[in-house]
Amino acid sequence: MGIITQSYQTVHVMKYKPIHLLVLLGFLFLAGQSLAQHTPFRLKVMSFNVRMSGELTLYSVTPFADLIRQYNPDMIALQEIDYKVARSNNKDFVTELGAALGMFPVFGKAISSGSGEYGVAVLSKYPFTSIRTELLPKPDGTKEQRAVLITEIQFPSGQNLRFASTHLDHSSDAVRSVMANAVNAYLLKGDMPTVLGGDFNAKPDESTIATGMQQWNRICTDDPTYPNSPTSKIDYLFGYPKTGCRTVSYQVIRQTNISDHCPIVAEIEFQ
Amino acid sequence: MRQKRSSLLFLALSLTMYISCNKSNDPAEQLPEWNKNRTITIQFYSRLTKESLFKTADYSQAMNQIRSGNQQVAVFHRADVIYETAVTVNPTVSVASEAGKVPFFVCNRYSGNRAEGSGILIGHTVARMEAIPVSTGCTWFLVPTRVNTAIAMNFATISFENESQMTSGAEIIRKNLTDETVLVGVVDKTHKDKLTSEFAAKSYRVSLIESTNSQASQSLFVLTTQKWVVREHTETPIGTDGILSFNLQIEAL
Repeated sequence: MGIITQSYQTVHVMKYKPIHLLVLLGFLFLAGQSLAQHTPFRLKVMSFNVRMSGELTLYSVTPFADLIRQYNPDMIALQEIDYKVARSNNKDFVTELGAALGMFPVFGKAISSGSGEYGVAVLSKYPFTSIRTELLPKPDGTKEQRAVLITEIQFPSGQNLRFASTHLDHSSDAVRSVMANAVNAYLLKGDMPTVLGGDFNAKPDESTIATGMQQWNRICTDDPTYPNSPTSKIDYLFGYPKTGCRTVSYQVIRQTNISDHCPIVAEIEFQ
Repeated sequence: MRQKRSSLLFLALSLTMYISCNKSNDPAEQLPEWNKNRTITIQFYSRLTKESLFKTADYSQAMNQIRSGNQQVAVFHRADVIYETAVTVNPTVSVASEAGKVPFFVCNRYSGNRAEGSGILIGHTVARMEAIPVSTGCTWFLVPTRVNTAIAMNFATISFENESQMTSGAEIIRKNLTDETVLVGVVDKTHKDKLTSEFAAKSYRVSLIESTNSQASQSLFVLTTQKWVVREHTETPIGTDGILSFNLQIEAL
């Protein structure tokens, strides 16, 4: 009986070819990826308008690095970033800040500024797998070209995350609504967990937020974020898919004295 | 007499270097005269082994070379990121910050507290960058660069450790390699024949660059279409602990 069983097994083993092994490995790879995508994971995110790359710190990144280190976020959406602009001593603010923190920096240009550039940025603990900067539309009444910087990041666990930073125009709710719709068109695609942080220059009851951002889960509260001793809520963190993420904790970091905006920080869990 | 002998030796060495750089897929190919105004410079730092590039946090020699060099792209092969409890050691971003460059990182794998991969430095910001995972330990990376108004170059890199990576990677390369792409990568020496056979078609140009270091287990390669040609390369050690610096001169034809 033992011999028969052995020869039966041998026949089956003989049928397997290298291609079967490759298919099996491919299946296991895809299954692993899929499992990683559907395992709940937590991350800590921050959004911070740094006021012209540190006008209040005489353009030193050190006070920003010291503050960020205390909160230890995985990703940071930054606004009002200069890249080699004369007013901020021709520095590459986000690369310097990244170096101080050991994080990966990326800058997204909205406009040229003298011989340099001005826009938004992202810092991430983990390497980017994709980066793109999209200019937002400029409807009548727009004061300045704005952009959204969209990054994709793969975590050590295999999870993929889309993380974006934007800064909407300070002109009017109507202009910002058009810009918010464009941001949505870029980001509300597929089921990749997505976090958007930014200075929206809009209060929670304005249509930019109340209507324009209703497909998102608002990770933050309505507590004011501007100015240093805040009275106005204009900085936000949003998560998508709306039902797939929840806020574990959220904080407005008040009176840092290094910017006219308060950084906001949240821990999020994606299902 | 000694001077004449030295001149002859130099001429012979230069010729050898020129020939070894131009392993075109068409051996009978006649190249036009080298136009240095249409030439880009890539500085590639590597040990050409499986070891991490930096063994200490002293990057000063590479940084000084980049700061004073005229390269459009610098690559730090295996400039791994180390996630320690108190700090994260990120050599590429540190060098970029000091040298005034814009950094990128191609992550090939996470291993323990490390992100293994290569750092890329260029001289300007970009609106696009893409890294496509090929398989564990292998990622295709592409970033568009501005050389000057006459030359547009998409810089790409990839590292091959084994044959299965190459099979999947070759498909991605064929799909993404255009006339504007200059791919500079690393291949394990035991698989370089497979690499040249994957890109044996006349539309490609593969140049394999071997290190003079006998400890090297990997080779550098440049893969382009026929629109580019490696005109010259030099290899110099950086410091004394085995880091090699390759200066590649590549002309847009």
